[in-house]
Amino acid sequence: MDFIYIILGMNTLIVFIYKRDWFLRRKPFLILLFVNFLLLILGYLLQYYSVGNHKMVVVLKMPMLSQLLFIGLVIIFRKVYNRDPVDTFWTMDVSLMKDGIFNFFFWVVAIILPVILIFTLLK
Amino acid sequence: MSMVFNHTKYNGSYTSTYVHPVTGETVTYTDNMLNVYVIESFVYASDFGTGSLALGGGIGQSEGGNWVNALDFSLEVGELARQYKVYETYGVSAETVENALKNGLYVHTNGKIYSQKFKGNQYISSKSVSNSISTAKFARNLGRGITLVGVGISLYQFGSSNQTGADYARLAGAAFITGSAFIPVVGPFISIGLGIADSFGAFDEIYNSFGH
Repeated sequence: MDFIYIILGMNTLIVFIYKRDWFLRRKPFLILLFVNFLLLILGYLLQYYSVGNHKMVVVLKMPMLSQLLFIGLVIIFRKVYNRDPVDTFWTMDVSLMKDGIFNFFFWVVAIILPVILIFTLLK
Repeated sequence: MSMVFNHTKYNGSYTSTYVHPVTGETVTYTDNMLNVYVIESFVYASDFGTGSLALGGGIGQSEGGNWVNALDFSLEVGELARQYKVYETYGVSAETVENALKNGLYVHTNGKIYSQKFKGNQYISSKSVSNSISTAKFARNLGRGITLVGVGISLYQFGSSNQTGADYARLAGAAFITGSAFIPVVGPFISIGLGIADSFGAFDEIYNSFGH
């Protein structure tokens, strides 16, 4: 069951790596945000009622934070470069360096920052 | 590997008697020791590194570190094998195959690039076309899946740990290593290189310096 929590908690990263265009279009973005909000609530409920591994259920709070972080960074990227960042996973195209740095930065922050928040402030 | 001992210190001498297993000869000798430590109990602990690859890795000082390290290393090797297999199949890099898919094209197993609307002709069978596309998609998804599995392991290990400074450092290390696969040109090599080093625990000292 712990791995289910982990997979659900990583859904933002999964979408980012497979279907990032869902984050860049309004309707899919809002649907995912709603789903992740439900996961956030579910995480708190499971924690409150001591259901499941308490160290793992908190991971359910992670995807919404990651998603909000993504859209925040995309808004900044759009303002600077007037376009959306593209996928650069394992690319050898040096012209995509700005996008690569963006993706790298998002990936690292989207893992670290929510984890710090959910294991400390939002515990 | 490390051990934590609880011991009691004694002062004095220590006498041992040995019987030779063949001759039956008995030898007794005494060591005069200033300090003799009697171990009353010890706790066994394992240190293990993260891993990653475009992958991620083991976190924390919890049990199960060996399988985590082994899995991390396997994922690294798996990624290298994927790259090699794609090159062997198509004669071009995995990146070329993935880029072609992204742009509505595909690389045929003959090494040439065609539109995905092209369904074959008298020289190229439609089956080989569909095989080329499906294999390319599988290879693309597999590479990304390996990265996600690595991150998943890192998160699982972090959740299972006591969330010490070292555990946070390991998670950050795994995120950095997996994330570097997004940096064009140099990133994938950094990711693979650091990932393999990390799966062997090369950065454990750095992580542990953040405190237990």
